[in-house]
This record gives sequence, structure tokens and C-alpha cells, in this order.
Amino acid sequence: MRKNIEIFKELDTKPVFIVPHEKVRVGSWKELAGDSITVLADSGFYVSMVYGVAFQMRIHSDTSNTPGTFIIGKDGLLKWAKIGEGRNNFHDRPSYQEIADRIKQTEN
Amino acid sequence: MNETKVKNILEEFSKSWPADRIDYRRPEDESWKIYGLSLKELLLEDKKAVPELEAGLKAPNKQVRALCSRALGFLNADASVGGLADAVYNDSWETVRLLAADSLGMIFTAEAKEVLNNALEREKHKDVKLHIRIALRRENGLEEEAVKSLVFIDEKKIESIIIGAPSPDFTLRSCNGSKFTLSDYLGKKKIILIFLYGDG
Repeated sequence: MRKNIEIFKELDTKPVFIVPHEKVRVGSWKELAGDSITVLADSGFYVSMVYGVAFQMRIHSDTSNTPGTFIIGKDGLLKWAKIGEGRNNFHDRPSYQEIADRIKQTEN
Repeated sequence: MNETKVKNILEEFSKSWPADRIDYRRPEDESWKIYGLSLKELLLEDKKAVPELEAGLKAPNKQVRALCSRALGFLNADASVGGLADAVYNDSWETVRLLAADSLGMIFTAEAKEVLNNALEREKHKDVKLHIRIALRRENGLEEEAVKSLVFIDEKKIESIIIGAPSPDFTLRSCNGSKFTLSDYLGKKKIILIFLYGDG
């Protein structure tokens, strides 16, 4: 997974993962964290609500975020978004390659 | 007065979250917003909400029981360990037991830990067991600063993303404890935000 994420570094893009839990429950996602990768704890669901992904999927017997992917340009504008929908929303998410291709199409 | 308000919040929530609800995102279904806003309203009531939330742990609608279990932890309701113990030991729905375990971890008293240890011995469901173990390995109680961010959410900000418009700014703590503010990267780097879901 880390190798896949490293491709974003080559694209001058910072990957930021947001987990809808307290820090204590970020668990193994923490292993991803490093200089170039940030893992954030959204324990109050605030950011998940603002970005429209909160409380939309049942996973591990909990009501959690649906998958959400957002590309933000250097100009701070939202360039592209994908929010998982439907009965198979767990699988309704872009591959890392698709995200990388979208970033390449993002000029600013 | 507050009793009535909390009852009303739970009744309204129950309309959008019936027991037979299917928890996946469907186009034009906005009940997920009701979930977040109900939780916010309950947290705004603070400890005054606790008696009604404890009563809600016995509600016929399992979704209400789950919401009450979650809210009691967010409120750090240390007087509710007994009610949460009953939920984590006996509720028929694993989600309620799991959220009750989370809340007992947040409350973090010796009594709450004892309940969690007992629950670990009797629990069979792997997801609930995982949450009990996570609750038991906590070194601190509720991360109040972060959890209570929901209280300050403006309804107009919910799902306020528009392609081509400024991305909503935010500040969160990283898993290593440092602060991250999205706007700090303005003019410096593109950002890819990936929202995750289950436990890592």
C-alpha cells in the first residue's frame, strides 16, 4: 500500500488519510504515517460531515464513512471528488492509478 | 424541559433510522445528516441528556440504542457505566455492544475497565471483541477536544463541497498528535484527501 501511495510524491501531491475515530482507534493506519503521508483522526466526524461521507456505510458492525476521495489543487480549489454510493459502496472507490491519472490532469 | 428535548431528538432520529434500515449510501438519502445532527444536538444538551440517553439504551429501535450508546461516551457519562454495562453484556445487536464498549473506554474509570474485562470474557462476536480490546488498551479517556468538534458544526457546512470552489478548510490532529490545517498547503502542494472507514 505504501508503495502505491508513494506515487503521489512524484506528482507533488500530499496524501492525507482521514479516519473517523479517535487516535486510539487509528490502529494500523498509523503505520502509513510518515514525512510524506498524514493520517488524521476525525473523531468528532466534523470533517467527514463537511465532506459528505459520514455515517453512510455499515462496516465491521459499525456505522462509518463511505469511501471518499477528493483532489484539491495548489490554488485550494476542489478539482475532483468521488463518494462511494449504492449497495456496494465499499467497492465504489477509485484505484490509486485512477487517482494518479486524475492528479496529472489537475493543472493547479 | 430538557427531558422533552432529548426525547424529541431521539423520536426524530428514529423516523430516519428505523430498526430495519439498510446502512449504505443511497442517492438522495440524506438520513446520514440526521445521524450527525442528532448526535450534535444530544452533545449540546451535555450531561442533562444523560438520563434520557440511559433510558434510550432500552429503546425498541436498535438504531436508537446504538446512538444513545455512542452519545454517552461522547458525553463522558461516568455515572452511566451501569447502563452501558448492561448494553455491552446483553444487547441483542452487536453494534450496540460495540458502541457501548467504545463509550466505556472513553469513560475510562476503574469500574468501566472492570466491565470491559468481564465483557471480553463473555463476548463471541469478533468485531465487538476488537472494540473491547481497543477500549482496554487505551492510555487515556475521551479525546474531548476532537470529539466535541461536532458540537460546533454549522448545518450549512454539511456536505458543502462544490467542484471548482474552495475546498472546506479544517484542522485535525494527526495520529502522531501534530496539528494539520488544510489551508497551510495553499500554493505549496496538491492534496489528495482519502476518507477511510473501519478500524485499521
